[in-house]
Amino acid sequence: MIQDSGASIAFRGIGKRYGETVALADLDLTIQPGEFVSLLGPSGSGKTTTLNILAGLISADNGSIMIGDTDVTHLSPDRRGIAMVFQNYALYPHMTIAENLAFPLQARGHDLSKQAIAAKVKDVAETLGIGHLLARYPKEISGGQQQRVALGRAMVRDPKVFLLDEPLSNLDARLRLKMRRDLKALHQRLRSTIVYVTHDQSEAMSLSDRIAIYQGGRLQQFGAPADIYRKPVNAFVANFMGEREMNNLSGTVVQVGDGLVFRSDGLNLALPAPLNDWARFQGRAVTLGIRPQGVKIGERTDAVQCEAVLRQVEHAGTEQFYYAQAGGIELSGAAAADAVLAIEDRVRLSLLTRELYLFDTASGAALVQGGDLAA
Amino acid sequence: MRTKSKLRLAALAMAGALLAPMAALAQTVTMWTFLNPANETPRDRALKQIIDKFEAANPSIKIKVESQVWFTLAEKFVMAHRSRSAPDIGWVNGENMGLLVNAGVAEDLGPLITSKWTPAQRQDLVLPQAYEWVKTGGKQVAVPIMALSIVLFYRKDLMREAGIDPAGVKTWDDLASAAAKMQRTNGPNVERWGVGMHLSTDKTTMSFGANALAAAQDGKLFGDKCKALLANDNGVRALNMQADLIRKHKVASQESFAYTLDDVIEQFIAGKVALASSGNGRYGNVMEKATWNGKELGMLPWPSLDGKKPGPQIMSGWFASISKDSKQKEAAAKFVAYMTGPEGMELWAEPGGQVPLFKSIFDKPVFKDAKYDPLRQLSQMWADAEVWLPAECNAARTFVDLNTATQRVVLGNVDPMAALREAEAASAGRQ
Amino acid sequence: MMDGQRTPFQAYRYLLPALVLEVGFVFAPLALSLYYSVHRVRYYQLGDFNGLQNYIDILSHRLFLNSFLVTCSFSLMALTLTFATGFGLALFLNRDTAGSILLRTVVLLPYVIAMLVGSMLLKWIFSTDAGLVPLAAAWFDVASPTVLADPEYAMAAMVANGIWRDSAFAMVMLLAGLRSIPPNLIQAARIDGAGSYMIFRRIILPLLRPAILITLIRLLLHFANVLTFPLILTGGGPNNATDTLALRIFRIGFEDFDLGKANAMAIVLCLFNIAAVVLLLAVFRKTRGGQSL
Repeated sequence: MIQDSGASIAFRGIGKRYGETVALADLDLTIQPGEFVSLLGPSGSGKTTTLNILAGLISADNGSIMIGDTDVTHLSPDRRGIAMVFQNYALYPHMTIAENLAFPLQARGHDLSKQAIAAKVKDVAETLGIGHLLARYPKEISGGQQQRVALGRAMVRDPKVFLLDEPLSNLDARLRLKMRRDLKALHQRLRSTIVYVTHDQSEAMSLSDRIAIYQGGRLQQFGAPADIYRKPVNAFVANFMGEREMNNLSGTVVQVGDGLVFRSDGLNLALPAPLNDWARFQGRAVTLGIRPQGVKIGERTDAVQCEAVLRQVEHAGTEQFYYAQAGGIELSGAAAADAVLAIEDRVRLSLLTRELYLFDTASGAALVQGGDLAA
Repeated sequence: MRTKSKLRLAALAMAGALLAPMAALAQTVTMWTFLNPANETPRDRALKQIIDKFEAANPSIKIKVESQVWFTLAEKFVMAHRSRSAPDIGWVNGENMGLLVNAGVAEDLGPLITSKWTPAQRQDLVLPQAYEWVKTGGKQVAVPIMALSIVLFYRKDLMREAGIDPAGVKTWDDLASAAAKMQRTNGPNVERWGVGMHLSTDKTTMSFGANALAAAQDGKLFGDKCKALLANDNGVRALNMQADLIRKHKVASQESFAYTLDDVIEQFIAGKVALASSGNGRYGNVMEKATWNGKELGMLPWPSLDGKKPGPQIMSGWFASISKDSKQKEAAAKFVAYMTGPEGMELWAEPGGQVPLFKSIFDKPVFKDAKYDPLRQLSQMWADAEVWLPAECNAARTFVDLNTATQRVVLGNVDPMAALREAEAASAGRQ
Repeated sequence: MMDGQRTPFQAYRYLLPALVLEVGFVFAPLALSLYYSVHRVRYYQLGDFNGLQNYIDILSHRLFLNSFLVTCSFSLMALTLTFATGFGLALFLNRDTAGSILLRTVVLLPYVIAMLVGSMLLKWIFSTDAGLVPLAAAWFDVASPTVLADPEYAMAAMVANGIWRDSAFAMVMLLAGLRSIPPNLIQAARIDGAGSYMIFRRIILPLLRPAILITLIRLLLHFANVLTFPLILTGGGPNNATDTLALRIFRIGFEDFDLGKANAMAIVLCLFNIAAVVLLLAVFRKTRGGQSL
């Protein structure tokens, strides 16, 4: 078992306003030592504000922050035992890579000898595979290499907490995937606490132990990637997670004869018996959500079924995505890569019950998550 | 045929009608001056009346005035000859007369104006030397329009309070003791200095020392080839007199070394100095603006080192000259002769407020009025002590050299004779 | 190679307007000045060629060395103090609070009013009989010094004029330099544990080098050549204590009417300027920490 070298972090009722604008509202969040946590959300959602407050670059209006056992609410950045990698890396342009890496060690309160600093710099550079770049200037090396230097400058002081602010967003797609793996490997080795800000849900999913997802200055949900994906607390989280948006059908549940029907814009979906407990949602504006992966072609027993016409098909390597028209509604679905799909074909669609979500249209709160009633 | 010749005649008549005013236009004489006849100052009004009367008497000549900034007027007039854009008549101030003389751009006014004078007219001149002064190589390069001198202003009220008779101030020592009596202090600060001096090296003019030196040398500051006559016993006495007003008698502020003439006059107006030198042209201005009773303003003849006769009135003034390039010298000379002749001078005196340069003008009944007394007094002081420093010698800069020498003596503890030798060398290097 | 149309001529075509201006306003006057400096030019009349006589005359003049030293000491003092004041103001006002915006405007005022007016204003302030100095002296119950009539005070007054007017220029230049430093770098340094002094010394100062160099050169050239301060404020006096080369050029050219010597002196001052800038560049190169400027 590897010993966690990181510190815990606790936000207690942290808030920040800029005039009338609420940048962050009453944040309560506890991060375990050694945990890799992503702060995920669209721009302006409060994730970067959280990071800057944690770093001490801006101060909160209210609330307190603990790092480990220390209340750091009023401590300056350099006394919080943190290191940070900026989106644009913030390498000092007038210093060589070696000088950049050595800078944090030369700061007050370290009292390291020149030899000790040089050894530490060399060590970190070797770890990150940038040992051959030490004599160069930042503008003389590639973006990926700059990214490593920025990481190295953060690592060199052995901080308890790493703060990473969209560190991969300036890299091209391939390099981003490689750096993602490297980061994960690094975390597994260092076991420091990492707080990672991103707007890319797949990055957050693949890297994090837990994800904190934000919208409009409020934390929406905090949990393991799989939990958030499977059990989103509201329509915003459900739609933000996943490569593609859900199909969202707003309508109502009505009793027709013996059975229940979901009625939406010229489309009546007969709900199968296992969903009889949806009767409780009658008379309420609701939104039915289902990811494309839950929409299948052909008749399935464990599903809600409807007739539709194929309008568009796109190949995505391992699978195909199609758009089909059912009544006044367009549904997107996924099919195997080898399925034969012809545009304008009339097909029968099955919406798998275990992939069905139901949200309160007004509040967005989840009522049904993956076929099960929300707790 | 007949109709054709009729037409020709008509055409000729029309052409004549058109050409007649153009012929008049051809006699437009351009003049550069610092005055502007459209303005309302006394001298502007005088010029306007002179031009109006002249044009009425000479309908074929029109005077076109182009106003210039006064302190670059002479330079511009000289420079304009290089680009062939000089006016017919240019006004030149005495301080810059050297420029005109040395540049050789002025027409000889002897044959055009001065040789036409009658002997009686010559006898009537207030400043006969002024005409000699602007002669070079027998040529009259300019004639005076109005004259100025640096005079000594004092306050009659302060003299009375101190029990001093102005007529008794004959030597510089008299002046120093009079100044000491008029000085007023308050604790460590002097509220009113006995005398105001302008000893800066900025644009400046004749200092007390320069006047004393000129007096001791019979009005001479320059010898042959403009060699400044400074480094001699007279120079040392004059320089020490001037320095002593500051360092020994302590009747003048050490700040005199930073003052220009304008600064000193402002302080005189504000009642912060009891005596000050100034161009006489400011008489009316000082009287009007004084923070004390302006009627108490008086002019004192210059003291001298030995007190035998008053120090010199170092003269300057405005002169008219005619460009060598002028296409209508006769017309221009006609106007200059009018402007500087008896009729013109009467107008310069009233409304112009200037000392008329003909004695006989004061004999006219209208000038018996008491308000012309200062002009009359000035005219008398000039007649007694008129001195024109050689025009070609750049005297203004030599005055600065003397001020520098005074600064060297008081601030730099340099021997007066050594300082005067430096000043003499500086003057020589410039000629 | 792909773009066969781009010939050197095209480059010259783009350069032409700048070249014309440069030739018209720099090289032509300089050449004319050089031409006049080897001729006798009295009372604006071009006379005979007289070789280096003008140069010999001015360089051997009793007051030349004095003017040279006055120019050097004024330039150095004014440069140092103006730069320091401007830098201090820039660091202090590098924020966007309402107060600092107001203060920036106030500091800029002396720079935007005409130099002539500013110097006349200061002359008035420094004068004993009308100015503010006696008020201050009365406050401390001492006799007020005669600022402009005392050689040392007069030099100090001229330096003060420089600081008063041109600190704003230094501030604007350096503020622009400060603004061009990405805030991230400062934040990064703070997180890296650097204190204010280390951030200033290791991050801000090196990144400001270009702005600092340009500011120093502009200020140095300005102070070495400025005419308004001595002409209006002190008149070069007292006892030639503030008689700069620029003032001498003016006096020789336009009061002694000797444009030949004045131009010779202007050429000497021009060489002095070049030497000063070369010296400054050399000092900068020497202290440079391996980075490209």
